[in-house]
Amino acid sequence: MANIGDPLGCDIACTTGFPLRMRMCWGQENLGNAQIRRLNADEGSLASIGDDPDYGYNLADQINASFDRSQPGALAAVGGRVRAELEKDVRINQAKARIIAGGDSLTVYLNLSTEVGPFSLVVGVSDLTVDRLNQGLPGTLPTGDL
Amino acid sequence: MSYTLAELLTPRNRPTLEAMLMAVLQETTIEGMPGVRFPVTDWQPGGFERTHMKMIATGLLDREDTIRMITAGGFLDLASTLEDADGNPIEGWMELLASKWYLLNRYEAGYSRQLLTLTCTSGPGPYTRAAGEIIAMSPVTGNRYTNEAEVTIPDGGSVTAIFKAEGPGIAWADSAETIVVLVTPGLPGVTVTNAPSVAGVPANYISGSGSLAVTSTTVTTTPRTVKIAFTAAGRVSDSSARFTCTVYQGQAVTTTGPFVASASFSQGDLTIGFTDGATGTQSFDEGDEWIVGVPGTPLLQAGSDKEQLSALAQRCRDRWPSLSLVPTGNRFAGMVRECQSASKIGITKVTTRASTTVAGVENVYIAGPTATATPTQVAAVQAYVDERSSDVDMANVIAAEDAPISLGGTVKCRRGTIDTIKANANLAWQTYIAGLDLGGEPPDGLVKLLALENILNDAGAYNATGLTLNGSAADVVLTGLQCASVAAWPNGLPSDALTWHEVA
Repeated sequence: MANIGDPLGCDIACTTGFPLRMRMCWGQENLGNAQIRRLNADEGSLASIGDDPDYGYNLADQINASFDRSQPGALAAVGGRVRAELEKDVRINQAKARIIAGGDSLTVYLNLSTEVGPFSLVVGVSDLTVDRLNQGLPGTLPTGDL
Repeated sequence: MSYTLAELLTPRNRPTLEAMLMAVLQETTIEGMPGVRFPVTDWQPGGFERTHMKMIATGLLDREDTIRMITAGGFLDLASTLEDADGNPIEGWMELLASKWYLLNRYEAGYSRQLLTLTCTSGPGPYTRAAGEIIAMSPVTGNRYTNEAEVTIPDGGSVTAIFKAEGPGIAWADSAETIVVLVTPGLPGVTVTNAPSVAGVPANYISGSGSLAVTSTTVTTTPRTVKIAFTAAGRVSDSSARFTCTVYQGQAVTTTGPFVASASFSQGDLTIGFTDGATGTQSFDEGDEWIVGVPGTPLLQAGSDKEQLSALAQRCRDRWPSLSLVPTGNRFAGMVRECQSASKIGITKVTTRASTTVAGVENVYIAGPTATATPTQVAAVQAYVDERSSDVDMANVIAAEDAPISLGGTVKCRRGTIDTIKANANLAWQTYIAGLDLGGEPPDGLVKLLALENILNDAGAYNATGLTLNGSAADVVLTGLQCASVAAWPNGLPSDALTWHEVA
């Protein structure tokens, strides 16, 4: 049964595309879904339906062939944009991000602070999508590229 | 659920539609599940169900506007004034209504065509140029014209040829003797002008074998239309043919005769010659008519803008009275508009009044977009109407009284913008004048000073002061039959008539 009283909200579970089997989610899962959707959406992609024109930062598009991760500060700049994007959500008081480059993909470690407490979210970024890798209680962000 | 016409014409906006959807999603219980409501509570941007709701609202919003347009599209007054959210006209619905309900298509913009005379001095000619190879220009307006067909300019002589404006619209209405610059290089010794001629091309409805011709020692300074109407059949040689002569000058119509058709007939500074056909044939029949406008304007066809939707709507309204067996004022007005459609003659304004002196006669007053009708236009329209009138109900086609509007005032512009602003203001002022019906803006018959100020501001002027119309800082009031026109150069167009200053 959906927990419709959850302070982080209750919505249909979805991160990318239209779910073939609908189920409700709430709490951290729902909030995590919302953040992954933000990082999958093109900037301004909701404007055409009259929603927030400032919504979205397509992380996969940033990690394309022309992205030179060896440039000093390149990953840090992306991390800054990720933090700014996630903090547009009124349910998130503060977001921290650390990005680890590996092969053809990136892993983004997120610590999100909300009114019901902090939690972590780990997402993998390929050249196509942003997907959830892990979620749970906050941990220490790994060291590495920033 | 029923809706009023006003509701159908007023689309609900996005906040209203979203509020309706949210009310259902948040407050309505699910059917078959008492007390259970839709469980979604996450309405943050990007939320699944919020995005779903916004998409539905967007679709409904589009449908709301479609409902407005479909509704308005069924009524002439509404369809002709439809606008989108940015205030731009939506033209398709009026065109659809006119086409499908009234079988009337909207007039496209027309090109001006002028008769230009090319004269070559003795020695350098002759020259032969293919169609489109000769370009002539008016230094007053900058309008350019190209020859429609191949032209040979004889050495030491001249040739008159038809030139077509480079673009469509009313802005190409250059008056006689103003197209005097030859743009095309490689024609030394050649000059060009669009000079008026003694008479225009007559409208000829002679069913007999005879003919008429007009001559004059000078190009008249009294523009008028002359109609010769035969009242008795016969020949010149035996003095059996009789005719009346009707002169249309401004709003005055004077008929004299009948006269015996002889070799020549003087009408003012014109001489009209009558020539018999072959021996044994009837030269002229009763009812034959011959109409000529003097002087002959070099403007064969006036340019016209795409028909305004309000004018198209009026033509649609004219459809109903045109079904009457007895011609009415509106039917004659409809004929004039059809004449414009068929020939692009340059007549865009028309109104009618029943003759106060002759029963069954309707006076039809006509004018072009920015000037009253020329004698040639009057003659052509008269002929068109005559062909379609009955024996007992007739129309006198008359040029509307000209009311030139001269401008005055000072305009300031940002540096570097003056040419663009002048061009925009000229076009907008001509469009405003063209949009005025005979008798000015209803209900008071005004040509508004505020319109000039708005046009200058919209064109990008920084400041406009001391504006006047016909020397007065007030609106011009027209009588019901007057035609507001752009005064002759240099008084009529903003670029020439106003004082312009550039500021930093």
